[in-house]
Amino acid sequence: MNPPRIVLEDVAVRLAGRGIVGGVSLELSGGALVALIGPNGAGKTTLLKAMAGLLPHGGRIAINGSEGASLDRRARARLIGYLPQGHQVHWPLPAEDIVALGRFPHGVVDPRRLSPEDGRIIHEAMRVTGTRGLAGQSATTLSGGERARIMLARVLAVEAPILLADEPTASLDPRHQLVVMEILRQQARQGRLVVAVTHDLTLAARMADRIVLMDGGMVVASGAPADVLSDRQLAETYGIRALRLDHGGEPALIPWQVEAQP
Amino acid sequence: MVAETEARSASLPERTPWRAWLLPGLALLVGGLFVISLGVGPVALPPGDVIAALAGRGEAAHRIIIWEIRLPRAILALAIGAVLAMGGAALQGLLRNPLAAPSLFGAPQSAALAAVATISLGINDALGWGLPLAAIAGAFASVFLLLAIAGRNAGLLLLILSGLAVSSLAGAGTVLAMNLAPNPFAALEIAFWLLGSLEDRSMRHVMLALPFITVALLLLWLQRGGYRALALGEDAAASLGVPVERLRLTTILGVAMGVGAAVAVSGTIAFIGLIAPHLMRPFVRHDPAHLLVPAALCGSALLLAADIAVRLIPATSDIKVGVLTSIIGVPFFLYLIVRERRSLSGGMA
Repeated sequence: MNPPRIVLEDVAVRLAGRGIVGGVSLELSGGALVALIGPNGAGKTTLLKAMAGLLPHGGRIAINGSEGASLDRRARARLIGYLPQGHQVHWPLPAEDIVALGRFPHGVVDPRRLSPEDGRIIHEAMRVTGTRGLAGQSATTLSGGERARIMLARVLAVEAPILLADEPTASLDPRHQLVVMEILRQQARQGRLVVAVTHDLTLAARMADRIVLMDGGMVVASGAPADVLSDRQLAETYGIRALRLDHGGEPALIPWQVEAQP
Repeated sequence: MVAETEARSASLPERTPWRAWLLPGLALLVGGLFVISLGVGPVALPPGDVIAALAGRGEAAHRIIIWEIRLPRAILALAIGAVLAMGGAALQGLLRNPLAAPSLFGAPQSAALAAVATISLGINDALGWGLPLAAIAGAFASVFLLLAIAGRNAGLLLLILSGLAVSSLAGAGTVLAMNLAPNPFAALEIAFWLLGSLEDRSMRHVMLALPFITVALLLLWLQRGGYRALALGEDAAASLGVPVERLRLTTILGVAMGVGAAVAVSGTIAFIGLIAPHLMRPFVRHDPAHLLVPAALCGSALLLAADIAVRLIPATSDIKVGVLTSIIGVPFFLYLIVRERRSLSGGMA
């Protein structure tokens, strides 16, 4: 399998007549955990949805060389795993049935009739996320951390080469934030392209291979964490100053104080 | 790293074997009620005589009673109960909301209005093909209008308020037609659509409704995978390859066909679509896809039972089955509202 690749050319998204994302051009390739960051309203979620093929957009989005719009629904679903914000489940389904939904793009209609191969993949997704013990538990009785990991298992079960996650660590305790980011990083190490929207600059700086910084619907910086998260950049986009520490040669960044607006 | 959850045991047993008995059990119940329904009436017939008459044996009078009078009624109860219940389960799956039901969306009321209007205007007679088509169009218009008003991610409150408006409007229209009726007999005929009944139906009625109901059941059943994926919300479902817009339209069409055809021959029978899916949900682990068939069977059983009950309740004049389902259904609806209080006051489902 060639490494997965998304190429965006001059991508623009309008929602309800308002330009949310304008003129974004990017090239993202497999084997990397990409953190998509930016202040509230920067257009991160919108761009991620456009990449997932969930929103009509201007410009071009090419997935592995073929035009996103030309992919049929099933093919796209097998190529891109999308984890929405909020981890919502509307019915008290058992956790394992939710994970089994990840096999839907591969033609699994009934979670009670799985091929051994599908069963193995679901099992593995739950093992990686440490959720095997939750298999029969109803989704509505899960804690926030458990539900986040079940949802992650669901998207891993798609076995898509591209993984788009919208705030996968939001509202999780520190341990589960680390756990989830570590799983995403492992997925990237296996050759996948993982794009995660996040507000956690500390985690992004430490875990991401690449950071894409958005502001006002545009990409204002993209590159290695150390380059993107410069003092000037943080001041200009977030209006904050960061505290920088050195932990045995590993740099750490903590958002520290509000900067006077320029 | 995250091994601690491995040790915790699952709270539900893996695959409970008795679930395999759900469908056969429900089928048996429906079959039993079907036979009882054929036996109940002014001439009470024991099951043995019913089966003999069905097989073409036994007394000639019994055969006529069974084949001409009671069989159409029982078939309609079976089919209409099934399609109303599956329609409710499908709408609930689509909207991810246990309070969604065709009757709360004004679908039967609108179907009745369309049927009454075409009869009053002399476009249709009560046994023509135009009638179910008009009723289906009425039901489709109401559900479509409702979802258009309420929008994609509508909260419970918005849906129910809009449904109230649509059903009140359709009800007012029907009453207006009664009001303007040229004679008391015409008014009485229109009142039939408001009450909902399975009395005095013939095989002609069965032929009129059954094709549409069958297509509706099939159409909704084919969407089952989509309803399950929608449990994760529209974006996640779409990312899994569910054609969400098409699913919406197909569901509305299926519900409209089923409800329209049902109303065309029985008038408005409410609340089956609310009660049956709710009763079955715990038995299918709340899976919106696995819910469809058990809900349909439960709907058949409920309507057959209600139609048996109206024949057994001693009353000076006949109680209509639609009245009975409403009398049982409304308190049940209130109970569901109490259960869903939290999401109702939160605005979003």
